[in-house]
Amino acid sequence: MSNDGSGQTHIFTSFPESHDEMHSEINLENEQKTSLLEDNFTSEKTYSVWQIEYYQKYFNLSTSDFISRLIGSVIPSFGENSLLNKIRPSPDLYGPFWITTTLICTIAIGGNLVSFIQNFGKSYTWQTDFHKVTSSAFTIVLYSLVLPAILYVILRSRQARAELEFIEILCIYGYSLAIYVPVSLLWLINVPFLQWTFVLIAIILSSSVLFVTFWPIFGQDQNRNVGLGIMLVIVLLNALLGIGFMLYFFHNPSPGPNVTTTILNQSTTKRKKLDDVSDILKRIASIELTRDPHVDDVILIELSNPYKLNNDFRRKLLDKRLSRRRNDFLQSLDGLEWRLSTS
Amino acid sequence: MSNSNEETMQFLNAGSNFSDLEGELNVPTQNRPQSSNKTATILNMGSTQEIISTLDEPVSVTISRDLKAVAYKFGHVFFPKQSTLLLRDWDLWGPLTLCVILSITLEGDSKLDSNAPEFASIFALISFGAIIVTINTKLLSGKISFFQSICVLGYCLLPLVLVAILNDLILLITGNTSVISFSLRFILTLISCFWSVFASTAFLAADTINLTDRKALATYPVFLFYFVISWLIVLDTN
Repeated sequence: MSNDGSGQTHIFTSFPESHDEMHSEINLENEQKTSLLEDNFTSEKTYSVWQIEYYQKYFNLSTSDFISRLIGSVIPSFGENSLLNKIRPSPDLYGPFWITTTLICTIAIGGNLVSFIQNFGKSYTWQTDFHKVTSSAFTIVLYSLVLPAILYVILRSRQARAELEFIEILCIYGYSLAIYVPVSLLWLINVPFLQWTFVLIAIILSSSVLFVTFWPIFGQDQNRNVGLGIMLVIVLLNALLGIGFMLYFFHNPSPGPNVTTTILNQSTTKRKKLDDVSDILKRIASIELTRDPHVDDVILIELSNPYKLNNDFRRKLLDKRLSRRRNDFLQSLDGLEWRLSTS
Repeated sequence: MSNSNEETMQFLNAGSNFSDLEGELNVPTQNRPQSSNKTATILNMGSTQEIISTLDEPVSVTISRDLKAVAYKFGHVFFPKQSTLLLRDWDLWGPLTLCVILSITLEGDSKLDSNAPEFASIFALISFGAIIVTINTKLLSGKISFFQSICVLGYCLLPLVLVAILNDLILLITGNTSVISFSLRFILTLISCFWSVFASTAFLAADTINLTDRKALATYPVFLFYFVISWLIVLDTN
């Protein structure tokens, strides 16, 4: 019996081995087949522009490639380590696409956060400003898509043998925006001096990367002045982009009149009341009016409901807001503030 | 498996009994055993049980089975583990439901605030975001089908949807302006964002997808996608 048992086990152990061999043979065959298929595809390039596989060559990079390209886009360097050398073997679109997307998000979110921090502690309704997302997206896409196209057209028209392909210019421009991602997060520190320092550092790094990459190509222009002019425009537009981001999204002074300064020496109950008034003034001033005065009235009354205001005073305030544009309203508040603090 | 085989045997027996009875009613009886044989072979091949005559069962059974499948997948998202369930049996019911719930919760009152997000814009953001992330995975030559990826990304919205509902509750209790409520909502949303990313990468970055040295590149857009949605949740103060 025991002999029989061992015989059986022997058969069983031998069975998987042969099965494995068969399996591996099949695998080998499969691999050969797939490699043959791949060879066919790479040699014939049968993919059309409408197939997703056509674009896979622009996403053919590993994580370490991506990181080295990111570093190359932040630290300007010549020769072996230059950004152009790093992207030359296979310029990718992964980096440009996701860097610009990230930048759109961080700038829109950061711009929102800054207005939150500036109004911190005050009863301020925190709103999403979707117009900021749209405008940041528009600017960044314009900068990173249209500008490379213009540069490419200039390059093709000025030089007989274009030394850069469109995809390479696109790639370089996309990566050159990378420095603005951390900077747009650092802009959240709401100190003007620091904000200016950060934007200056970002512009210097980004422009110098662009300069180092494009100068060897545009510097060869028959007319040296034209080459210099193009480089100057590239750098200027980059600086404009950086400064524009900062001023438009991160540097907005808080809207509304400055009521708090005059109420410091009032009694606490009065101060509370005046705080309320300053709040409602800001909220009324910040609201966008529609074309229909009746709708505006309803919105404004709803807005001012939570505050315990004298009805006459409220009516006056709302009428004032309804009859004026925002800037006029803010200017007219100076007198009002004075009257409040004296009464 | 053996249990289901027994069940199918019972079912087949019952079927043959019926065919005996229906012989008088001029039904092509000769076809019947053949077709049941077919189903039997399919079942023996280890395929899914759903092939057995979903036409004959009541609608309630069909619906409850689908609902159970969806609930089972939600469970998988809630306790993320390496599994191919969401990839194998993908469906778009879960993603659609979650997307609609999220859009309704985050929708702002445009009467009070002209900048508030609308239902359509949130719905479009989520769906286009998922599509772009999917295309990115395919471009990085990940071996995954379009709807598989959409299914995973959609189901993994679950933690964020739960937090969005919880957010509304917190706002209802504590009010809009207090700093504590804001920080609580912020932390909760951050946790759920990472949960979503973790759950979806458990499916999307599995070894079968074949993203050997570019897992991080495929994961980053997923993170960005969930991060933007969490941002909308934190901003929602209605």
